[in-house]
Amino acid sequence: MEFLERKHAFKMKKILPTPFKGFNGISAGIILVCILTGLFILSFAIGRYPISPGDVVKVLVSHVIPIDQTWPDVLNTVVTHIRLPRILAAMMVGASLALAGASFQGLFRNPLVSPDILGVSSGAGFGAALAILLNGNQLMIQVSAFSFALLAVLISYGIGKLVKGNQTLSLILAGMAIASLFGAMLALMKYIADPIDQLPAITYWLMGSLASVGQKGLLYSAMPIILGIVILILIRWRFNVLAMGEEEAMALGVDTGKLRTIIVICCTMITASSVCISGTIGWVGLVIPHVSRVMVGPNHKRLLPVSLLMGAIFLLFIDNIARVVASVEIPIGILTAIIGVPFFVYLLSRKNRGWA
Amino acid sequence: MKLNVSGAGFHYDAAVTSGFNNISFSVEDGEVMSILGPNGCGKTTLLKCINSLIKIGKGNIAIDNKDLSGLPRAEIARAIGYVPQLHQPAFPFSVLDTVLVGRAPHLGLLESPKPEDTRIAEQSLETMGIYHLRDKPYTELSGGERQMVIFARVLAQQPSLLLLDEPTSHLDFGNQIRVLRIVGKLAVTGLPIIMTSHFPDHAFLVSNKVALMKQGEFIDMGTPDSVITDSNMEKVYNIKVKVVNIDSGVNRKICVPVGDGGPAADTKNVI
Repeated sequence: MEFLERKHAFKMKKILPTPFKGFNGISAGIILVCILTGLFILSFAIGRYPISPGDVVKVLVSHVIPIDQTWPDVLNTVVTHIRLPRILAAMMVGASLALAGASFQGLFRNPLVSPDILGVSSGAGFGAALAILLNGNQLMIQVSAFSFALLAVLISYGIGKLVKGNQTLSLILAGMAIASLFGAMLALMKYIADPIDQLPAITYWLMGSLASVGQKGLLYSAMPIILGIVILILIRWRFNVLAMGEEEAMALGVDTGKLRTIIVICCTMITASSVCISGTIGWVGLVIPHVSRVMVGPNHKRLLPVSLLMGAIFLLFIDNIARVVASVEIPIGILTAIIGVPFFVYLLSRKNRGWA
Repeated sequence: MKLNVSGAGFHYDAAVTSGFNNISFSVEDGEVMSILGPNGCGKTTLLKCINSLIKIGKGNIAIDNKDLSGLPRAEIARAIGYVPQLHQPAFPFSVLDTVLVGRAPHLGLLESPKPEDTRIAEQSLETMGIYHLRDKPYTELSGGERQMVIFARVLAQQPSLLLLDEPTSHLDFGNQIRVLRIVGKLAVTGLPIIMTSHFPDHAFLVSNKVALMKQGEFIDMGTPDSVITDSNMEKVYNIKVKVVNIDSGVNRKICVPVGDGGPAADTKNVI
């Protein structure tokens, strides 16, 4: 406070008015929420059994306020039991992967980092393959994927802690090592799997799909996901301080070790919970933070919520395509890349990039 | 505000380059202390220890008789501002966002800057004379402008002691002097400052206390005139130096290397 008084020793010029800044956080947020809501309603309407958006709204509203049923009973089943879990899962998984990607990019001060950086996906892939090999049911596969995803991150984090010096770098290296270790073990699982039924099951799981998400799986994974998202969103401004670098962040009063642990736990919780219900879905966690940075700039205060919304919109959009475009469902992990890559290349080629 | 360092020592560790031992000094309001010494003598390590970024092995460091070792990071950051050597940030934050980061020690874990913090950040930009850069991406600035932004950030931190790690390195001649003027301007307000430097001339320009460091120890400390001498300079840097007074309207001492002139001297002879 002493310093406040000292400041009057300087001659104060009149503060200039704030110049116009274009796309700010609030307007971007409002636009994205509107798009997401529209897409949400529309997603119920499209599919093998088309429903008018008006009926969709009526069925959804009837769960909250009792209104006279003017639609056939089958609509209740399609909207509530078939499409609702899947649509919610798409939004949740997309939001989680994008938010975890943006968070890790801020934590590691590197825009090329994806949520897989500490081995989450490889761990989950191995866990799922192991459960399939042991003829486990859907729930066992999810639990095994989730557990091995956590285990992979735990080992990476432990190794990173053992190394002295630059924590960020050692974490990334440890993550790479663990990812390839679990990758190798996954390959082993595939090699010994029964090629008639087990191998295809493993392969499909690895391509990612939201087709088999049930209400139970959704409910279980929703809790850790929501908790992780809330914490990350609450502490989001601190990412700006972390982005200054480890030592500077410490000099600015941040307990970097503690903050890093909180972030790694939250990101792991949300990615592991997502991956275990959806399989490996690449690309969302890398590309959505970039798209969001182009939209609202690198300030994490805006970037994290925008990444969250963009991730939900993107994956819901992709899942709709996966559902309706062909007579056989296309694995979502394939589509995220096929649609995401050209879009990403377009962004890269634009002059005014938001991150370099 | 008074900083007291007594018997501080830090020993070699694989992670850091150089240690120091038995360092004692104090700095109080209105003092600007320059620490001079060759590369790798432990200047930067000492600054980091004062800021508790690295824990000292021996001795103690206290601000207003309060030992730093037990204090939480945020409390240290409210007392001590640190300007690191120039760095390349990972993301193109706007200048204002970069300066706002200086408010971190005053904000809780879940808090973001409030309008009051923005006002303080904008005032810091004003003080540094770079308000016009407010919305520019930090990454698009020149080295000199970036250093000004980092100074604005440390002002927004409102510390009662400033540590500057080679604030003039990597800057051109004009920007070096501009940064030193800022240091002088801050010192006039009474803010105590400790800076490391590679330039004895800069110590003459802004400081009223100089410490000479060699191989992890202070070999001399006192006023610039008493410390920066021909013999001391030779002892520390192993080159012959003459400290001379410039009269013509300047009236300040400077250091001039003497001895073999090399190609420059040859050219002079030819002409």
